[in-house]
Amino acid sequence: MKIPVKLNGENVVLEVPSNRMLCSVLRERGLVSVKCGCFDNEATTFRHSQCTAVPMKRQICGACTVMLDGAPVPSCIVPVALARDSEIITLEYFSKTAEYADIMKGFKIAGIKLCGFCDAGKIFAAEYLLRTKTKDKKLPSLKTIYEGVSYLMPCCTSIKQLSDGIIHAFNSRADRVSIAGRGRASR
Amino acid sequence: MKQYINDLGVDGALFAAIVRSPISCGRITEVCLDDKDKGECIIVDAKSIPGKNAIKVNGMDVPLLCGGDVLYKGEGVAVVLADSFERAREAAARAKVSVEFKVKGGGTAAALRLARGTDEDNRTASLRRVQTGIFESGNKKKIEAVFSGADKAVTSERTLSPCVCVPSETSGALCVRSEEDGQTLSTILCPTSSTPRLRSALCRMLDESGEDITVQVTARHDEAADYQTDIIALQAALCSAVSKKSVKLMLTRAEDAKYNQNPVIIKVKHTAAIKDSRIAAVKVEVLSDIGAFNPFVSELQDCIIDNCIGMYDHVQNVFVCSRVLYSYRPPTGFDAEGVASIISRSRGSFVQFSLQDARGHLRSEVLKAAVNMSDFSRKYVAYKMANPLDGVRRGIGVCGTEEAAVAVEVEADTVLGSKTITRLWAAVQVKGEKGIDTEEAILVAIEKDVCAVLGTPLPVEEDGTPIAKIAFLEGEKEGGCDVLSAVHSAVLGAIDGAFCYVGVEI
Repeated sequence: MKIPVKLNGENVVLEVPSNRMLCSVLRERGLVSVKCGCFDNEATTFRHSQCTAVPMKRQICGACTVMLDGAPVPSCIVPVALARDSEIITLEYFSKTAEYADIMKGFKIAGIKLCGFCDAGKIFAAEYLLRTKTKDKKLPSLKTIYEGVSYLMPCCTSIKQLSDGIIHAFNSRADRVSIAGRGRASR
Repeated sequence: MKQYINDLGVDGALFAAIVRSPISCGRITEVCLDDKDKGECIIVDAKSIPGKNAIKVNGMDVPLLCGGDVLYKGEGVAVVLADSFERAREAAARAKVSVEFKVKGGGTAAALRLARGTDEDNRTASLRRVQTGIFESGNKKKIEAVFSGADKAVTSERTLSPCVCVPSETSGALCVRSEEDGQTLSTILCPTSSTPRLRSALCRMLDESGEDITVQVTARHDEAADYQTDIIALQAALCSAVSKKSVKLMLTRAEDAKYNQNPVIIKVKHTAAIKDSRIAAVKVEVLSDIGAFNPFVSELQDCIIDNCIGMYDHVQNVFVCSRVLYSYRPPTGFDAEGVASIISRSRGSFVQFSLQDARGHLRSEVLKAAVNMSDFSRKYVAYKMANPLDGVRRGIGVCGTEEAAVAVEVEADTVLGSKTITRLWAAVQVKGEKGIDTEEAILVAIEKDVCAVLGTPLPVEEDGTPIAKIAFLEGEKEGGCDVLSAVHSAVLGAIDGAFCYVGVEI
């Protein structure tokens, strides 16, 4: 099946079976920041007779998160057909933006050490909160932040630490925007 | 951005999957591919290793692939190579593993039952059930009597250190052949924590210098089992050496969870007998499942001890039973007797410690014969009834292998804090020719223990003969090293006031 998408700013046509998960399709294209985390991809294709499968809830770790039309989604449970004519952004593309730098600065101040596995979930959750929940350039309430990240179970960071990181990221972004605004005004 | 092995790939690489031992106790005789997979897949087993099949883990040589005796159910016995992970894993699951059971005396059916247990999917559960260390402290009969006369009994149960599966990247390794000729192994990518250790084991395994091989460290999770990453890297390197191609080996998530989160589970059950609104007696049962290899042995020991002795100090009637389950070999550094001894001292009562073993129906028979043929059958009963407060303490050690069985009883005088060995009896039954001279070894072991604990040499009779009396029941005067552990247990048991019983109960 041919599925046209805008992948990391580039219009591409994915030629894959429509029922395949977006996560594995993206990984095959070399976008390895998308990880198959809590969704046991092996269970669908292979059952090792000598190993007990470890039961895990799905879509909790955030390792497979991508931005689909501006919203973070767990790509391990999204069939690729649902992404037709959508814009997909992965961490490879997003990491080159100034917004990413703001978030990383905030995370660093909060003492968050990224393990490199579940980064996408945390970073895209932060980006979504900062972009959609900051009314009148005001910091979202702690309750809003908690609600925004509570669906995640990142393997290396607590929810409290992540919320602190998002608050610091908001401040970093506000500083950057105000400096840029002042620069434009002076010109 | 960090890169894990799963994120890396090489064109033309083969993919590997591990064939695992279906049994927990026995010997692997042959591993071969299913007819469907012959010609399409390659199998690499321990026989393909040109050098030494070992890596040092916690000071102990651990085999890279099981080449003989199985250490635990699920141990890697071979690696299957194919052109995709799915293909390799299917072939690995279908591979035929021929085994020979070491357990004798009960027939193949009994050995199968013993080795497999009831839960086929549990890696080491069957072995854990039969190989346990049990410490018991307190007078069980007396406490049972209190319980039977109690107004009510209250029970609380809790589980510590439950195995929580954390989503993380699975362990793996990628071995890349040289781009120039494709014949030599040029790079190993793996998340090792010790490049020198890996390189050293690699040289020993390949039986060559390996100085041209680059080890490149990739991203790793903190939860990753340290030893396992190196073993996987070496297995991949072996496969690459055999197939002359680049090889990528990744564990499945289920395999990884088993290794990375060595399932340490401690279940604590407290039962209190309430009489006249007071706690009259308490039973503490601690069940610890510590696996085959465990890097957290000291923490685990502390946890067991805390749970055995940490509560109900004001209650007089306390019975503590701690059962430790582990695989074929206990984790390096786990001192079961030491734990028993600490519990004994802290509770102010004797601890009966027993270590059950899966290996020996035959051993059991030899042992019974050894005990029954000597006077120890009566003394064994006497020791259980001995009053420790009279100052004379007795410890008995019974131990057996397939070659030898020994029963040792030591009597020590501990009045007014003095510790003097007053008597020692031993009955030894041996088979076979190998080993060291048993009589001399026992005497040396006793000397060593007594000197270590008392700081004095072993006393002698007035006529100058040693106080140790050793009777050989039959056969040659040679035995295995397990004889020494029996002697050691008995001596320490007598001196420290902890009764030790090391033997076989199947």
